[in-house]
Amino acid sequence: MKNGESVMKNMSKAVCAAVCVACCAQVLAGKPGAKFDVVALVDSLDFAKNYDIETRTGTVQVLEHVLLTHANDIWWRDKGGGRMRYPSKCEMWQISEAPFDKKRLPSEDIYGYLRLESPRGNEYPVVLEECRRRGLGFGIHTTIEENHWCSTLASNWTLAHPQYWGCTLLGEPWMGSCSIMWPEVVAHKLEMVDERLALKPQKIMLDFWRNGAWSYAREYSTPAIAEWKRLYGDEPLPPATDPRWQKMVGAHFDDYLRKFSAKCRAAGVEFIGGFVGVDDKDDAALKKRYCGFSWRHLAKEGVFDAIYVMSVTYDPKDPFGSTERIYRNVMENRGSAEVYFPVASYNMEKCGFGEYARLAKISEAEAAGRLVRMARNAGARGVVLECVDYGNYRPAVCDAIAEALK
Amino acid sequence: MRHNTKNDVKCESRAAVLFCAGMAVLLGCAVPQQGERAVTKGENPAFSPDGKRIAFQRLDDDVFKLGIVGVKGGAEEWIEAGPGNAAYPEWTPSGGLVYMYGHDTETAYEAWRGNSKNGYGLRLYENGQRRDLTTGRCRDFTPSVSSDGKKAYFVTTRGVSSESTVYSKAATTRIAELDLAAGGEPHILMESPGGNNTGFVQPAISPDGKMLVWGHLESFFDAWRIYGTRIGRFDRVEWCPVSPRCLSALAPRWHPDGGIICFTGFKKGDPGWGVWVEDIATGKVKRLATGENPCFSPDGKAIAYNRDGVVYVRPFGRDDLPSEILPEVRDDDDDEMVLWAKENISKETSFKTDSSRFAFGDKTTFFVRVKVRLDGTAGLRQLFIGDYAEHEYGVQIFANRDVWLSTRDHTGRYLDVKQARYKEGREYTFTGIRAAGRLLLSVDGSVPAVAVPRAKVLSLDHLRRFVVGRGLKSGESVVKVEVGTGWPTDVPKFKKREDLFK
Repeated sequence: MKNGESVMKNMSKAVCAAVCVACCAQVLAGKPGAKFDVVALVDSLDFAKNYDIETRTGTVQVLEHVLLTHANDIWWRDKGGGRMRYPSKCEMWQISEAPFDKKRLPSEDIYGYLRLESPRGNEYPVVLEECRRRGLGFGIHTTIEENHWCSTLASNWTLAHPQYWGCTLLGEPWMGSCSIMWPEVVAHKLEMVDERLALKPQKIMLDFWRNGAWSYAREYSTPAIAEWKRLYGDEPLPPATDPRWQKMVGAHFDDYLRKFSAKCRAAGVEFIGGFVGVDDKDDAALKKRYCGFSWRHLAKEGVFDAIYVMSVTYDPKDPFGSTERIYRNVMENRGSAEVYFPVASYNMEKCGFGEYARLAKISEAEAAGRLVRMARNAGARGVVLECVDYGNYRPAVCDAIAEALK
Repeated sequence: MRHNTKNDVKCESRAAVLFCAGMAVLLGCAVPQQGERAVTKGENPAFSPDGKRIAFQRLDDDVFKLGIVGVKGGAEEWIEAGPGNAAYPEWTPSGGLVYMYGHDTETAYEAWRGNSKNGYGLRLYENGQRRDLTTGRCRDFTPSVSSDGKKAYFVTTRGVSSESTVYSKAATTRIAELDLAAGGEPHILMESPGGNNTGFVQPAISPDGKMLVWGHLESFFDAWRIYGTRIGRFDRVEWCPVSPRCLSALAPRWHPDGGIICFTGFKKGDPGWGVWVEDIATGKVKRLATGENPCFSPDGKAIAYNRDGVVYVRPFGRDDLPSEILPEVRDDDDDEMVLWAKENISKETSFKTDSSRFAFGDKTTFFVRVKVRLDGTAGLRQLFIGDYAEHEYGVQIFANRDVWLSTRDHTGRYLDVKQARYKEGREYTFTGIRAAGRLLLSVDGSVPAVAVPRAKVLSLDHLRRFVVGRGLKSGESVVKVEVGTGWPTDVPKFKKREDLFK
């Protein structure tokens, strides 16, 4: 997959393969009769140097390239940090990243000149429609983050509303993200949900790993302090590691998730939560760094239609065995939610198939195939390819995924 | 740029209310606040030299137009109304306008593949004629014109790397000077310290032409802050923070008298971005209104700004003068005092010493200076570790491909500052400083890299041991290691406000 021509050549072959995989998977998935999803997470931005993603042609070329992985369901990223991939009224569209807002630094590479959020680059609905036309599953991959570890990618709304910024224990506000403790912030986030639902996706996956430096340590906003006082009187504000602080802030995230879920349900759209650092005990890694750690509770409550386990905290001495145990634990604690497990090219949280291959001293293709089989045997609804960039799922890996579904 | 904030301040009088409300209806926007008058829809206002007109930009049908309107409103004259986008107007003394203009007709991919020259440059509008002052695939923006009309100062991306990954060390922006009379290429004066989360915006040249102030973002977790320097003193060590650290502050403009700047600012508890003024000599500040992008009128008696996409003008009088001093942290007042030193260590060595001398708490400025001989940059070398009961790695200087000073915040979370990779095969002196409000790291007495943790640092009270030379390879050594309090003599101090006036 070296260039666009070979992509075009392989396109029809890929589509046929995807259909075959879908058919095989339907028969062989853990849930009898259910379709086994091979989901590709795709951010068209990552193809900016390969295709002209501000055009319909380029966007469809991205789709065709993605289909080479044999994916039968595609969740398209709707934003990077706060920068939207479609003209968002909620995020107050502005021309390019910079320099039309003094508070945002410019970026001089190709990404800094993209206008995916402007009418010029409004290809987001096009690609969703193209998936529908081809009979593929499709959804929106959105993120909890308001920046992407980079001030150039901060949210317009966040930059414009310093009064809602998160604060440290020292009382220092930070322009990277707003505090969930403000009702206005939740209202804005829910408006964004409406905007996504208007695009008529089949599913929305909310990714808690891409948190853009969000931290409990930056939730010391005015309403948070008021709530702490209400709950604990004159007790000094605790460090962000205090479980009571995390529970208090976490409850606001949970409320937001419930409202998010209700909106999706009303629109007939599936709501999926994506979490990292899952284990078979108490999700210690998840709790340490991320919000949304109450996913088990929320899943049992029925907030999520599905859970995407983005990474697990496996035992490096027995990566596959320990992963399998965690998968079983997740399936036992999922409530009514269906489950997706990863076959990740990205080595986030050291959970990519490359890392499994390294630890088990097998090929990447073999590792990817084993991960698919484990997910299927555990009774998952599907696997997620995280993320599909240009050429990062090599043909041998794609073939192994397809083979594992036979 | 456009934001929704509470407009809860009552108008001064019934007449003012009626006038303001009328203008608001006319403009289809928010109700004016105390003492202010809505002028037109737009942003980034700039008074003309005679004070009778205001230049502004307006986003209309997805195009940034540039226009002029009377200070009391009325008919608008369009200087740029598309195609292309225009922004950040700045008047010349003779009544011309310098602004950013670009008409990017290609997609990003087309431009990238085709080596496009389309970007945003500076343009001059004078006597009905438009002339491009700068061009190229870059962004030249937020110009400031000197009061004699000879020079323009602006932020530019020209010449910066196109690498924009999160881990990039490349600068994002530079401040350039352009000779408006002679033309030619812009002259780069300053570059933002490395990293794509640091950068500049909106320089402003003082009325006497001797001082430059600008918005400066110093790190990812930092806030915009106004810095200043004397013209001609553009080395990093000469830059001085002008606005208080507890404020987010950017987009400064000078009062015609030269002693006061106005800027866009925010302090926790404010209802939104605000119009602030500061006496630059004393540091006294005052918040005047909710809004952004303020500028003074030529006589200094009025101030214009925008809020919710509307340009407002309000009087600026004696009662508006800056009056409040906000708390500041000063961390380089004390001179170096070496408390502990060792020499010639070629393998990992642990030292136990009198713990009480190294109970730095969370406020004492202390430093670690390590002179090393290293044969390469591959592999991790933990050159110095201060092992405290509060945290095993209470303070650490380590080197891999780069060199780092690390410590912890009060919850034990990792904090660091780094200097870009060093060259191989020679001796270096790495000096790390943990000051009350920041971490600094200097290599061979260079201007230090700075990180502002934005969190309370861990109080270091109970030293267990110092560890020196972990990971050293054969032939490598720590020639000398020193720990002390105060500001180390080999690291240049940054300038302070008072230095701006020397």
